[in-house]
Amino acid sequence: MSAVIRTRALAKRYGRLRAVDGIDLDVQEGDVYGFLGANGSGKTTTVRMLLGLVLPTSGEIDLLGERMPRAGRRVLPRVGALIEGPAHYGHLSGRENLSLLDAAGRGGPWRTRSRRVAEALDQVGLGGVGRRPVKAYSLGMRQRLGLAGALMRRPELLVLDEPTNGLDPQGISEIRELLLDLHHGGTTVFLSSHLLAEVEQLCTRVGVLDRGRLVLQDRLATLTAPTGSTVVHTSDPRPGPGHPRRPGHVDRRRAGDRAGRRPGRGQRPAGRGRCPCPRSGAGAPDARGRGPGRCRRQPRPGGRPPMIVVELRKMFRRPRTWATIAVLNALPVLVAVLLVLTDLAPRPGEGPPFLSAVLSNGALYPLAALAIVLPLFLPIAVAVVAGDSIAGEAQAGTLRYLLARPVGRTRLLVAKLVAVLAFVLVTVLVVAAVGYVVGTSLFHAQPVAGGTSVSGTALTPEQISGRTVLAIGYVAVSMLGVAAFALFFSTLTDSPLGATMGALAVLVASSLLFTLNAASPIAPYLPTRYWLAFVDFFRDPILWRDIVRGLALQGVYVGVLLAAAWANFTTKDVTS
Amino acid sequence: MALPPLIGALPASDADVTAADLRNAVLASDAVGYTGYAVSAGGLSLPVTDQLTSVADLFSDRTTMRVWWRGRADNRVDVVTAAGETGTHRHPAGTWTWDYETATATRSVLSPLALPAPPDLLPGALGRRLLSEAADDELSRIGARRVAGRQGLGLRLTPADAASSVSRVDVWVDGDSGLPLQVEVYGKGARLPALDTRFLDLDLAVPAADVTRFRPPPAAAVRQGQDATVVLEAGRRIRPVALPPELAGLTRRQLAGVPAGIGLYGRGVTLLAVAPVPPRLANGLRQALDSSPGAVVDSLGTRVSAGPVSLMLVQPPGQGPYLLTGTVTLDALAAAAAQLPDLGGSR
Repeated sequence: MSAVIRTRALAKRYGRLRAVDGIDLDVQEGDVYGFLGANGSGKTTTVRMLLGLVLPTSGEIDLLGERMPRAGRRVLPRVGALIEGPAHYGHLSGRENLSLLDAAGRGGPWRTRSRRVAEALDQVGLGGVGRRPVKAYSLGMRQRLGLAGALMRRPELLVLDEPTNGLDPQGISEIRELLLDLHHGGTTVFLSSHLLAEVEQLCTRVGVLDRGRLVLQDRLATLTAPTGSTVVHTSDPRPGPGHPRRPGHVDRRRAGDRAGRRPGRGQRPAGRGRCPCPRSGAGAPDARGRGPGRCRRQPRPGGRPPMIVVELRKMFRRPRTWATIAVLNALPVLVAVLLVLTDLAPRPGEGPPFLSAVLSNGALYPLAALAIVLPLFLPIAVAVVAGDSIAGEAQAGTLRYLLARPVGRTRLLVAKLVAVLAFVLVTVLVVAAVGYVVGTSLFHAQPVAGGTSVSGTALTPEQISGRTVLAIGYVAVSMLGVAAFALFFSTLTDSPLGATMGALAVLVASSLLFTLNAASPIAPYLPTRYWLAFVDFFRDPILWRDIVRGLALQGVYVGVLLAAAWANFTTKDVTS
Repeated sequence: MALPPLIGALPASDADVTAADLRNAVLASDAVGYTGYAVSAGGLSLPVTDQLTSVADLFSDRTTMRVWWRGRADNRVDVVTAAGETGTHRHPAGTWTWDYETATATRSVLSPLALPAPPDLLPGALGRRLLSEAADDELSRIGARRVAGRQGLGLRLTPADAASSVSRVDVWVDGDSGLPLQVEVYGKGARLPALDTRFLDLDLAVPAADVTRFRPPPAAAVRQGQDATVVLEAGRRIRPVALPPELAGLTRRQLAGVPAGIGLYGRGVTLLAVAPVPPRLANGLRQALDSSPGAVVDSLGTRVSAGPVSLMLVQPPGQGPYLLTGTVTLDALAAAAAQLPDLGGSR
């Protein structure tokens, strides 16, 4: 048997606090290892270190024979984890949650995804819950769903942190049987718990953690054996009648006395834990002689959609995203209705740019609508979405599952950025489109006559259309700096609100400084400095100076802040 | 983003040219065609009245201008604001002024007397104006600096008149064309320029004629210009008085188109204007002067200096109010007020 988990002098310090103090774990293949300890003893920190979520202060971790966290991308796909309770996207169904999780990491080909998801749900008894959103699940159902997420990859190692929390006695019993099934299928189980009874019923080996120190580690049978018993040493390790049981093998009768009613090792029921991989023939042992029915193939990255697609799906299937866009459109629509009812357009130069011109040419309303939302509403919406990107995952607890999936931190950050950019683009386009519909239906449009530039020259309809498109694109780019600030703050905190407020504080400060002559030396570097430069597209000739500088400034902010976000995010401990 | 300031900080090589030659090159530069982007920053907190806010803003705010210059009588200067602009299109017979914010095109004929306008603040126009009457011994060379990516040769004007409130004017001149690239006006005792106007971008190529041409857009309101009405109206209304040939050591000068009631004194950058003002304007001005920090109020009247520009309002008993203003010191202003015949008689 080989070591599945082995740590050497593993330690984690938070300042002067030694959360984990030099522990040497030894979990062998085939073990059901009970990691016992009181609350606050360091169990969860240890589990997080095993999975690469928290970086050790010192010591070494070998997981499935490879060094962590360095080999996380190779090792973690072979590990299923339930870490400190389940975490899901509440607005999605259980099936959708698993589907997203599967797509995010190295889960396998997308063609078999729905089957894998269905099997995992069946395994935990959630096959019939339908499309109900997870926020309507009971605590026990969420716990089962978390387990299903851990089981989806047919893991060689299951790391479970308090897996029966919130379950009723029937649920606890079923989960216990499920774990035993998996164990008999060849899965090594690392079970972290504070419940001695639970560990006693399931585990073959036990480690006891006390205030960060591993005070005991041995076979459960040894620990529970009556003192003074006779120890029989034998040179023949083969099990047989009259022989002691093989170490590492669980006596099913202790776990509910159901032996004989369930298929034995290597005889797993069809549809339960069977890998869809064609190489995992039933009963065929793998090359290293391990249990049959186990898929050893590493799923190829090409078999799944990019992480970006996963993020986009998450974002645009979220009701809040569309509610934000709807609210953003409400103000320009209200302004348009008021203009129509009162016929009182502001004079040129008063109010938002272009609003004065819409009564005579409704085709300009997309620009007026953007100008209405640009100073406040649009940056707030962008800051809310970008601030939620990492911090929202952290607060919901889904960040740890994504990273343990594993989704590379850089990849996740890039995917989040692209999703935010997509939000910005979609939002700007929707505002412009709604503005166009409102403008052309409520106001008199002049599609043929063209219009007048800010400089007093005539513009053809083609010029107006082209420049409008450019202006819309420019407004979208202008929001990238806000997005980058919020994304950066989102990696600093686990509070989406904090990240959003941080980005908004930067914007308010920038807007204020921009109005002060005394701040003119730093004005060219203020993130909001060139926001209104989209008006320059409507000067004649186009004034490119501020437009080019605005684009470059946003580029610099995005580059610097993303680099800072990356440096921070890839080195931080994920403790949420 | 830090690249432009870094390039701007690169040392510029000087050229072996005398101050007088450089001045001559500047004065001949109004025929140089160019396209540019200029910014003027005024630090003058001029007292604000209802009638002349645009002039006050011009010298106390930051004004950003796009310029297409084909010649003295064919050019276009757009004052660019965040959400609008005011374009002045000069043509041989006058100017068109397009104001986007009021959707108004204003046609004006050329007048010898006009209120200061943004085009007057362009480095080229201001540099030529300030150097036009400088004596050779007031000029000196001050090295070179890079302005708008071009080599600017430094030319310093230090006024010789004791009454002058301007300590110096630094003009940075393009070595190839003689076009002023930057003009800095310093008041006496000031560390920072009271007025700093410079090009940020400059392309020395004659712009196309259709850029400077202007046709009022169909929806625009077209008006006739009322330029300098305030001053001219005042000049017409108030009886001409016999102003002395010299005030505060400055000699009176004549300028075509200036009403006889207005006296102009001095030369170059040291100028003093004495003008009768209508009572309504005087009241507003008096309130503004009285509320200005640093206002000096005595038996002569109220006087204020805003950087190198000084203003004084005097009203002798039984007489209409007079405004004395110019680039002279407050002491010179007081001396001039005391030398006014009506005032002298009233004391």
